[in-house]
Amino acid sequence: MKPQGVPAWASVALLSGLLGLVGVAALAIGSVSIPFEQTIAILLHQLHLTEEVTWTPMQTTIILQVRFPRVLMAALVGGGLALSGAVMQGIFQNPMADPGLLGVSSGAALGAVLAITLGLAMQHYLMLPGFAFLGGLAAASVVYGLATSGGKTPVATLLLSGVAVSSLSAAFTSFILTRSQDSMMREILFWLMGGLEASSWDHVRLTTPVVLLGVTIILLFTRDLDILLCGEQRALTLGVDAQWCRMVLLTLATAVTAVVVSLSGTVGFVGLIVPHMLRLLVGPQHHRLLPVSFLGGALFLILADLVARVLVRPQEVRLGIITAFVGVPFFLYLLRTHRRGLDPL
Amino acid sequence: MTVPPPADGIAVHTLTLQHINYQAAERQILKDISLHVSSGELIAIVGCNGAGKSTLLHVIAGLLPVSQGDVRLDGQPLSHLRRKAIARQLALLPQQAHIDFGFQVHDIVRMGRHPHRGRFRSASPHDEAIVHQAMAVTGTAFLAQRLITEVSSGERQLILLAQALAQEPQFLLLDEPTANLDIAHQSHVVHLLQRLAREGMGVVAVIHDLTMAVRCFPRLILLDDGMVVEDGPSLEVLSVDTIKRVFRVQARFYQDQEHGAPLLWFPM
Repeated sequence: MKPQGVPAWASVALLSGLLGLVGVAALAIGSVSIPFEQTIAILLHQLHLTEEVTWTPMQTTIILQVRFPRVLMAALVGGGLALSGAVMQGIFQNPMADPGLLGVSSGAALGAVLAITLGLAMQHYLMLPGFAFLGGLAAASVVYGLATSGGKTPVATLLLSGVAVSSLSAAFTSFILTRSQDSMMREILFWLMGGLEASSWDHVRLTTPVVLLGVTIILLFTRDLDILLCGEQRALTLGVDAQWCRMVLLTLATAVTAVVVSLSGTVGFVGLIVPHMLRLLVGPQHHRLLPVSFLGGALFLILADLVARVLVRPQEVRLGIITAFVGVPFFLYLLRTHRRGLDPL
Repeated sequence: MTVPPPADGIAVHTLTLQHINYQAAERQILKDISLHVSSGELIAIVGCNGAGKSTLLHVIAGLLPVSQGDVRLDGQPLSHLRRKAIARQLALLPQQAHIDFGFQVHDIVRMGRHPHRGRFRSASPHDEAIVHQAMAVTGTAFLAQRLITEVSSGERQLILLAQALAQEPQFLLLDEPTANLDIAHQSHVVHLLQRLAREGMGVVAVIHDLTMAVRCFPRLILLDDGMVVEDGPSLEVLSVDTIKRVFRVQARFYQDQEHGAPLLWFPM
């Protein structure tokens, strides 16, 4: 198989089309089903493209206030995680690298758990994501600080510090979990399994600028990322300041991850697997891989969240469980059928 | 020291090392090294394992911070130049560079144009022409569509050489460029290096094969324990006595009957 077989524009166009389609479907489907045409009409009305109103205010509220922000959050979280994952895998030249590599995910989890047990989560709806975000950034800074000495940050040390700090935060989280009351324990477990049911327009407004800014700057470094994969020595003599590039890209990927994880809870798997799948389609060149990863991650998480909403109606299955249920079999299928394409990774 | 005059109309560039000292983990690896390399020179660095040959190459490429002295490109200290500016004048082919991601060979060679391209500029027809040329002279054009993960280690070496040539450097540094190659490819690479030097590039290679060093490289630099012990025309540098003193091996030179080339014999 030739990974570069699909032209870049074709995969971007295909994924964007699918994303639009799935996005509208995700607005229409749910515990209250709203016909497809009506969903589109409500959206068009909102853009002042139609005047006629054939639906109930209730339906408008469900679409615009409940489902729309949730679908957008799914797109931002999925896209942000997948793109950050692709960046991490590139920087570390390691297929097992995921966006939480620098301890962001486990740090965020610890922050969230603290906010819940201290009762702060009840006081304001932004307390929980705020604590999660700070926890994620704090963990990543500790990891980076520990691994840096004399202005150098060796990749192996960085990976090991990341694993160590992650384990430590996970241990703290477990400790708090075992000491908390049943009701809180349930809330904590819910957060740890990830979910987007709390998404509101406020969340979208907070997340969008950070994710878009991070993604835009990261996309300026696609050629540097390609060259970093030739090894540090070769990268330096090709004129890429490897240390500086790595620092900038790690900071951005980590910030994007911290923001999205703080609002979605732990959603595993997206950042690890989506870039791998797409590398099979478009090859390893980052100017193709990164945009496609963002779109693919967004698509994947909108679908996963849709499944989470409708699988056992009227209850919801946790998003983190779905991403694994949907993603793992698909990934294993790809692994079996495209073994050769994945082998070099 | 015989320096073949570069072809007419080619500007002469210089690479100068002044009293270089390099230290790693309390150990002095390079000791007071001074060298001068000009355009069109073809130089082999020889010496025992651990003598500091690769380290010297890395210091010349600006990859290692020296504790004393400086490396100058046309009189400019490397430390004053940006990475991209250095990469336009100087390319290094490392001993081993394995790439685990399935890039097409063509894309790998195109990365060599990086120092000549702005962040937002896509590869121009001029860039593509140079990439094409680099693959042609290294004999890797037929691999262009293949994946770098699917070629042999010798082919990978040639592809990375093509990448380095795509940089259009004035100085080319190579760390054992023929280590993974069969004799046909060894001969191809040596001829290519000789041609590049004739066309005005300064070529400095770490070479383990002393016969090749003596036969194909007009100037030799012999390193021992981090010091330059000999620097000059190859046959003068590698005398039987010097080989005995530095390598502790009793070697002998033979003259090839037909071509008159020196052949090194040593006990094994």
